[in-house]
Amino acid sequence: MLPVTTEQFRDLAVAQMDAVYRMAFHLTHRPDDAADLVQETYLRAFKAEAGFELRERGIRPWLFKILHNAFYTRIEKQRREPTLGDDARLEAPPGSDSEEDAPCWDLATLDWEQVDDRLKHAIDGLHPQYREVLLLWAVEGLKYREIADVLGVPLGTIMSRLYRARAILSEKLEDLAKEKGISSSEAQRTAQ
Amino acid sequence: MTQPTPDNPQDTAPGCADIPENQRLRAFADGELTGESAQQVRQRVAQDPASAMGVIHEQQLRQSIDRVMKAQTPATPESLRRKVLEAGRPIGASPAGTLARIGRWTPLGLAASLFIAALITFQASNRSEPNGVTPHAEVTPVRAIIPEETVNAFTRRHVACSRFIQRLHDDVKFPTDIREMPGAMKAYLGSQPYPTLDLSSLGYEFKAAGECSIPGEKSVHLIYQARPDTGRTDSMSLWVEGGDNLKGLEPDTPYLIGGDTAHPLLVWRHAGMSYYLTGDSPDSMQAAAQHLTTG
Repeated sequence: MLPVTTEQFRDLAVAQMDAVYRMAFHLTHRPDDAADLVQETYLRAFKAEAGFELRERGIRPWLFKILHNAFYTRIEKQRREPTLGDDARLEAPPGSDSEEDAPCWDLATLDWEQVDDRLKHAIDGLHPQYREVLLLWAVEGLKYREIADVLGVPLGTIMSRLYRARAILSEKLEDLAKEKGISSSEAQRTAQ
Repeated sequence: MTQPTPDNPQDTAPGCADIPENQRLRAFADGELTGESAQQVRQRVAQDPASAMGVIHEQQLRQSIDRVMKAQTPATPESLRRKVLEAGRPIGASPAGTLARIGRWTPLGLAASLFIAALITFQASNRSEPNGVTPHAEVTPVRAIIPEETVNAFTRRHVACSRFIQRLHDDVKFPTDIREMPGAMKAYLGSQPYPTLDLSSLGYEFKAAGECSIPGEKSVHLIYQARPDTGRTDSMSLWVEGGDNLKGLEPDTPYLIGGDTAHPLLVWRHAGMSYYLTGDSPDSMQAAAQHLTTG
């Protein structure tokens, strides 16, 4: 652990603004909400500077943790205001893990533009708890344990959410493959 | 369900035995398993095409999510950036002072992060790797020289071309006899590779070669497959690049990248040329690298 000065702390934090904004944008889906959330995250971070310890992964996981708390504080507030509920977006309730293996696809057999479009749609449709884990893992490159630390949940919960999120996405891509007339077994055969 | 726990308190990877079977392959594909846990899954992947397909699928999915979501994110608004900078400015400091301070301190901040990252990488490199491959003491430069995306590109190309030889580029015709390859490669690349690229003594027969666009410079991709009489079905890909693009590495010393992944990469340099080897069997790769570098 390295000691950092206030100036170094703030510069390290500001240097991560694009990543924090990206996460906020994909959690909120609205640029204005994302900007508000980022601002709130940084205000909290600057206030909590004394509690920051610079470790091997830098300041990013720490900022994500603050962002996560700020986001769910807002969600909780919105929940108390029924008209602002967003339950229609929920793909599946967390914890409803399927024990069946998700289909496997060689994505190279599919058209990339269609894959991208379908993926984006599927990710946007995920429950925020799944989406957040998925983004921290795939886009921000955090390890399972780091994600568990950011979200304040057990490692097993992270693995379970990630498993379910990927299964949902794979199922969506399977739909696309079927539309293109590629069966699962055929895709697996061609990939062997 | 039993909650996963780390192999030991120092390790950040979940323990294999604690992970449900249907999630173990994903954890492996994600690089979350280490040591024996990773080795168990690697053996399964090497023997089971469906598992190998699963690993490839997971890696493709992750890359696709990363690409799609980054492409879909608008740029951070400048107004937001200004507000945050302003919020981070100590009371009484002028905006100009803030910018000057950031300009002065950012390199130090980055230096601190890089120092820590280098330290961690160095410590990781000193841990023993699976399969008996001991990374060279200075692994950090390899990761700096070869970005993760390039490593992934080698994996993708190996999987695609070793399974479908016809996917090799055939604009340049290379010999089908491995004994003629060094001469043909010298003519194409302008440099002399090892006098023999034959791996038959290790049980691998040369299948085909083609020009390749990775790692970036002019290079040749050679594919070897285990002979049927060996009872194995794995294959290897060797890229020979006509240029010394791995400067900073000790000559003729293989460096391991991604020792915990399904398709690790071994890289080395020799006589002004760069070599990249990947395959389905890390043990065979290690033997092949030793065979080539020691003659």
